[in-house]
Amino acid sequence: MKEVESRLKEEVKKILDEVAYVVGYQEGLTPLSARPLFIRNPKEVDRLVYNDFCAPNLANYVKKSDQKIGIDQKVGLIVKGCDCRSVVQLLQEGILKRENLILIGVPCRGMISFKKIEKLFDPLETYLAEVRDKKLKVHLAQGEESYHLEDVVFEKCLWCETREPLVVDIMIQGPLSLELEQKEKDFDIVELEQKEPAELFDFWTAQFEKCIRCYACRNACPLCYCQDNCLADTRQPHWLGQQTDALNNFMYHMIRAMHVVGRCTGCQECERVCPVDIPISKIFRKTSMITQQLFDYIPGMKVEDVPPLLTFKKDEKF
Amino acid sequence: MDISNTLDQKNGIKIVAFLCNWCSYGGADAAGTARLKQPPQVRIIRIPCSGWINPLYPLKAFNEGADGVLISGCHPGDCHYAEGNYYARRRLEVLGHFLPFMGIDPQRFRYSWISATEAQEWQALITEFTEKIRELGPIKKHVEVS
Repeated sequence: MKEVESRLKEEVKKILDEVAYVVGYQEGLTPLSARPLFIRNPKEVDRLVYNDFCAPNLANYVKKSDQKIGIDQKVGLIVKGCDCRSVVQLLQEGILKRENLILIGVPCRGMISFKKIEKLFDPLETYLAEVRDKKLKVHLAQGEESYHLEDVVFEKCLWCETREPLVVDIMIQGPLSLELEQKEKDFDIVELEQKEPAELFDFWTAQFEKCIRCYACRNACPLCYCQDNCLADTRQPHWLGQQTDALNNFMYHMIRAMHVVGRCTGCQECERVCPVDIPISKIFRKTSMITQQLFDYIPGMKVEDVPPLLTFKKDEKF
Repeated sequence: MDISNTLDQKNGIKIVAFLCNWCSYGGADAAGTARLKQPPQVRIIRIPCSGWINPLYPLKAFNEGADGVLISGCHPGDCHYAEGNYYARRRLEVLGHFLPFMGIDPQRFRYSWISATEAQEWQALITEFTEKIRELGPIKKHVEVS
């Protein structure tokens, strides 16, 4: 991965003259996390990192960039396979313009989940971390420890089908797999579906009671871009109240679900940023499963596609 | 819209029906004019077209305590606005598949196509649907904390 990082830095330096800025990753609060970095000059390239902890979906940081920096200027964006699907979806919807983007594809072999790490040890006490020999090795104050990758990698990475970005200008080759055992896609949803509606109702009530409506899921979602027009913020019409009880939270999540259905590319940023650990992505993955089953459509694969709910066939039967 | 303040508590259930102005609403109206007996638990909301239905309307109705939601529009191909119900068909189909996952019995939700002349069909449908909802009983509602 070090090799990928150095080649990435070279490529970024090359395009820096053409673009207003490049969005990449820099080290976060701990060596086990990464946060977005906006590179405007060659000096800032040194802060760029790319490793197994670069989980954030950077597509979220360039949407609407056209309006912000003027139509003529370009933006560089570093994309992993799954992030690229969000970009494709935003291109499809006309939110981003292809000619204003320089996409630098990076290989992704599966990212490490900070939430999963937190449950195993205190990431704030870590001063070095690396992935080696199918293990996550971390240097803690009390010595070196290693953990199985299966326990710390994002679940979505275990069934990933787009490890390589689909639409890129510059591709940086590198390792594409951690050689872990693959899981069946959305197995947890299939499991959950076996339950009766009444049980599912109780399951979701328990989840939504936890929700504090911080709107992190909405803000982190690359495809939730209504901004000032968000239904969850309106009081007239009164879609939902300000109380954060299960009743209102249910409605809030339904608003998100119904707005993202047929568009969600499954980056699972919503779940990653949730401070109270609600498995929100299950809702969106379920909607994606439905649209795939009914309309044979997977979002974020082709720029020319039309989202299934924005079109119809006259003679279809359900 | 507040449907919690129900007119007939004694009947125990409430059904919200969104009917297209150009067909199903006319159908229900024709059923009334023809003095066909219809269940009183149904609240009909007239809408301009089934394609106008936001899937959040039925969800909001369930959220507010409706025990059943029925949506009816023109037969595919007969839309007053040419293609509104084609879009509606896709959206409502997705919603129908999605409801059980969120813990709402899919039998509580139905969409159908009724034309303005089909008063008999409307009566049969709404009677049967109400009967079904009565069997299922009142919906489980999320607890409101205020």
